[in-house]
Amino acid sequence: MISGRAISIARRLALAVVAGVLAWAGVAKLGDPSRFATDIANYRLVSPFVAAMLAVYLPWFELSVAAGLLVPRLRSVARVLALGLLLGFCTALAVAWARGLDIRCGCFGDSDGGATAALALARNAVLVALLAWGGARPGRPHFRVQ
Amino acid sequence: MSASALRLALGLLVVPLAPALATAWLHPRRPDWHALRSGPADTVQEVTPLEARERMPDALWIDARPSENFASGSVPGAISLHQGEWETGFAALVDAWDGLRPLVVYCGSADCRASAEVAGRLRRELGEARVYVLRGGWEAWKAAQGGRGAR
Repeated sequence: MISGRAISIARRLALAVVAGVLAWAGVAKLGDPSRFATDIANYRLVSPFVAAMLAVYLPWFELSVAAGLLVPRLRSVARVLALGLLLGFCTALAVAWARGLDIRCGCFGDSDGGATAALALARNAVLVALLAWGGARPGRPHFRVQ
Repeated sequence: MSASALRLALGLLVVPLAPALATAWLHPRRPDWHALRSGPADTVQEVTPLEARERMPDALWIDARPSENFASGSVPGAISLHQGEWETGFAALVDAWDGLRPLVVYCGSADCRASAEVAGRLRRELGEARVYVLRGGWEAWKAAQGGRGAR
């Protein structure tokens, strides 16, 4: 039987992975806010001025949420915010994909090698799944081996 | 969501504002707020292909499209300067530019914003006012040449 403690550790590990990815994304984008502003503007969802404001705020927000996921008192709130953030990104990527826009994801600054919308969506889906599972309340053991 | 959870959420949303403000104000690669407030057209003048040819025949052309688009056809003598490969392109531009020629930046078509972004950034980084955006971009340039693209 997989013990409740092992599952609890695995859930925390899942949240730590998401925190790490968010922190990486935040740090990578902080290197060039002007570039990130262009990436956001290319989605054509907001004006260039709003894109620029988001470009200076979002990386720090990602870092804030990443830190929150690692602090027990903030974890559940940070998880909700992280879910909102990732679902927001997913929506933007899906809209860009549906419109046929050939644009950079911009998710990790220059370090994501210009990931396509489809790849970025898949990556975000994995992160959402990790967040959902990592924050689920511990219940009865999921696996029982006789 | 309880009141305390709301307070914590608000904290996580508000705390990033301080470093974000510092980034907006002090970061060496901060967005060009002045150009964004007044609109690119007010700060970076647009020229048509005809105006560019007649008024500034010695202009140095800057191609703000991705390098693969540049490789498949560009204005003769243009320098590739895509935002994603800024360091390489900017170094090539500095090598090629004598500081006297006006700069004309173009991207794919009238719908793209890359030329205005690159032109704004060049104005800031070079301190050069004679940076223009080609209205209609590469499509307009090709149309002005009768559909012929270079290279």
